[in-house]
Amino acid sequence: MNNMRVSLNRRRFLLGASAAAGTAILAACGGGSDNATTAPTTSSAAVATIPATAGATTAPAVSVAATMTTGGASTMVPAMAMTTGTPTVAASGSPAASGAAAGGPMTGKVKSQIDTTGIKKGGTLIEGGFSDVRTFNPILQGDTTSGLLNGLMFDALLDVDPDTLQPVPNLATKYDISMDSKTYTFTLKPNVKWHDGSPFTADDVKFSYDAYMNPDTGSQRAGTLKDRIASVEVKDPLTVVFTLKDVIAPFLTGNMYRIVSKKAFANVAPKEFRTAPASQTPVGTGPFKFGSYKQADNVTLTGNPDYHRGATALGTYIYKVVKDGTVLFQQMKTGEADYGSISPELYEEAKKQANLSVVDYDTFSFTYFGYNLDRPLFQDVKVRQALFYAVDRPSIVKQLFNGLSTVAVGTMPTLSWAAAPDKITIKYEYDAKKAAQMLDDAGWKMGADGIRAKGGQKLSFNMWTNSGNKTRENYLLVLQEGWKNIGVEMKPQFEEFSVYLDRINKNFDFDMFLVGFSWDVDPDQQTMWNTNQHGSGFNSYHYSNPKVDMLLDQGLHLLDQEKRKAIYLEMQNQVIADAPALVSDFPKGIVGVNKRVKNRIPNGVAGSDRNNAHQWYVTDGK
Amino acid sequence: MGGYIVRRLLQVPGLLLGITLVIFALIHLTPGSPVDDLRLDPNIKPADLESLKETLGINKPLPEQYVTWIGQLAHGNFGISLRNYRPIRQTLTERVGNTLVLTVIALIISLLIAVPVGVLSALRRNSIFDYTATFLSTIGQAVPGFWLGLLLILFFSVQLQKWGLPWLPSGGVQSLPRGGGFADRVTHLIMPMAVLAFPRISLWVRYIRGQMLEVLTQDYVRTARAKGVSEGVVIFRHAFRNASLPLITLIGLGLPGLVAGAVIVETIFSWPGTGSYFVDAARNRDYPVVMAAALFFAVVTILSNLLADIFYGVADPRVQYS
Repeated sequence: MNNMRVSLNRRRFLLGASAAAGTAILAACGGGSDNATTAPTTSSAAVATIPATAGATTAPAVSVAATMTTGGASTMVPAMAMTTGTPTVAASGSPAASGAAAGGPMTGKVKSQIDTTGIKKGGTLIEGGFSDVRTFNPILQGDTTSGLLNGLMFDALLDVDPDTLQPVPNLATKYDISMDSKTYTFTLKPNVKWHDGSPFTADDVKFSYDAYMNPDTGSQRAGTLKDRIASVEVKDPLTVVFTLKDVIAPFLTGNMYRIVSKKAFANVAPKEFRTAPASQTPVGTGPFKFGSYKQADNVTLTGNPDYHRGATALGTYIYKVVKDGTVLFQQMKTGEADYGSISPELYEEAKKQANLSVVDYDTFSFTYFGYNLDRPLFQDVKVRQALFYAVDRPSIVKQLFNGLSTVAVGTMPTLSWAAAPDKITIKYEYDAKKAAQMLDDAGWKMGADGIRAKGGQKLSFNMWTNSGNKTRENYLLVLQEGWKNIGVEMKPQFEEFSVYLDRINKNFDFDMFLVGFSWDVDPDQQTMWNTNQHGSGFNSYHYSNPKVDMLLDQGLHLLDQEKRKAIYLEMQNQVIADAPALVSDFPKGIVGVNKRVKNRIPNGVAGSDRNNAHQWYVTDGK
Repeated sequence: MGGYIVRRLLQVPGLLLGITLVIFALIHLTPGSPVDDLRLDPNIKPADLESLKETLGINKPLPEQYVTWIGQLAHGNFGISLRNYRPIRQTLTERVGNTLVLTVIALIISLLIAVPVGVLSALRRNSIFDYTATFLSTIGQAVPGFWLGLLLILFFSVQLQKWGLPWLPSGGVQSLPRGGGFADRVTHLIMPMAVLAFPRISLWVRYIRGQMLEVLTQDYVRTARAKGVSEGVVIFRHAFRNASLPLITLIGLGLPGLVAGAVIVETIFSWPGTGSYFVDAARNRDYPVVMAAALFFAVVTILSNLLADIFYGVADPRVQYS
């Protein structure tokens, strides 16, 4: 049963939590605005203002460049360019930039599927999900379901474009970045109204971020934000200035959280946020207004006819809790649910359903396994590499994921702009002979019992994962089999999620472990590889390479995307050669969508499947 | 009898205190914490988790937490959930209502079916009816609820719809978005209720049949028949009344289960009852909810045992409480 499955997948928490982000610029080209039709090409036109209404929009092409300029100080807007005196545009070479320059609307994979002409008004979309919502207050939220629903009721300053992975405008029409890349000035969209009719202003933005940065509210983002943000100041009702403590590359794609209404929380002390009425009956600016909530049953939202990016097409959106995946699939067959995720085992059957479209898509999640580098057994890099060569990942993908996953090359998910599989030096393609040879060379000789040994020490160890997740448990069994064939004994160990987490991340009492994860849009991978993340992050293997640390730090504090890509390529190749852990595969997401539902386009970019929620519609209007 | 009840009731507070202490100790001895699922989010620092724990009040010394909890309780306050920050009492009220609708109806239907079938099986021992009933009740006890539930959904929802026939909704309390009236609610009840009732009917049929067979051979039944008492009176006044004694115990002990909900049925049929609420709470280490559940069940269990004892006394005059 699905609710029993404990998932270590970070995506669950982040999908909604970190929400949306977007860069002004790309918005323009990538689909920030709903009906972008023309894209003025001149660089100077850049971005500056993007009409956020649903209507036709001019989409200046350039902007993207900003993130990639070589100059350090980057800017996306002409204004900026003037201040810095740096021509921002050309440098980039980013596809976005060039595409935009061509002058047409970007037709990304997701963007091109959105139908803006045939939208029908009215009707109900019912989405099924495994877990109940936990909070209607974005400040407190950390789980996927709350993220989904709050994402429909609240907006962030920027969203992330699922095709380009660049920020696109939402509540902010544009932003300027100072020369030192530490000050972001956001210009807010005028005439945006909260669901209660009051106007949205810069005060709301400051209020929200102050709350996110205050741990008393129950916010889980306080630590990260306080590390990154020095201050949030209101310059005028439509201008808000974020001053960062350092250059933070993932700021725009990773820290654009949902904005809440200051008025709704007037007279609420931070400690009372959790129980405040506004946390139960939310007031947002988003495409849907709160309707009703029945615990463990359903959340009903109503379309917002006054939505600032165009009137919401759907009359009603319902999220209903269906705890079992098989049952959810039956409900999709009968039409009791229009949208829901589908497990790989049901994929083939789902495709045969006449009323369903089944969509599989790449995500930012991955499965990986690592060594405990403090154990003598794994001191020799040859041993570590040899074990990786003995893993038949293509057959794992086929058997455990029904083919709905991708063998990883490098550490960057397929979707990431930093992924560069062609340039990865060691791909760890399955080669049992080579693996055996490497172990021979390293002095591990086959014993009479079929297990290799060296100096009286057997090549035998424990490997852990969390119990209850069948895919992971089977993963270990497949690894065991593969390693057995080259004379290595691995003993699989399964234990309950909480205990397991303590083991791999607090007590470090393991030889090897396997777990799954999901990244943000930004390719920063500090938490997995940086020396200082042992104990506080997810460098559970105790990996330490000063060169990697340096590259990670460089990458984090640089805005130029092309430079970052090069840095992350070098970082990946170093990590892969050192082999502390293997990013093994990138599982896909699978959803079923009733064919009467249009414009609800699933994708793996955190929260961005909701960027166009106001355009979702049902063909029969029911 | 009255004195007995008072004495039993007087034991309750001490018993409850003991139970809450044990549960409190157990749930806190279990590794993990309510914020564990946030630990894999690299954007959440260990310091954030610590301050979150502080905000939630779960990093205080355990005795202090327990005393705080008891203090709240004294004011009739179960506190708020650490997961969804909603008042536990409000959730409990909502969920218990849903659960009772399902379980009480399932109980009544089970009785209405099990008693006549059990009695008839005994009376027509080794008849086709008896064999069928025995066969079905064996199946009923062997079939896992989740499998039966899925099977029912596959047939009564999916297949019937495919054939263009009227079909049953596969989950929830009522139709969305607007919900229907009484009839709509009834159609939503049928399948979960059937899955709940089937094993129960099976068990009770076997009990009743066995007891009846035993009782029917007793001397007093033969005497009653010899007296010329009508067969109906013999069976229901003399035989069934005696045969039903173990049934009272069974039902009495099963009463807490009525409010405890039925995790599997609730999961399969997306029924927002107490079972899944409490199981999720235990899994997520939602301490206040676990405590509220423990307390709630303790009260219900104690009361239903008491009730069973009282009914026993009523049904069997030989039982004396003094």
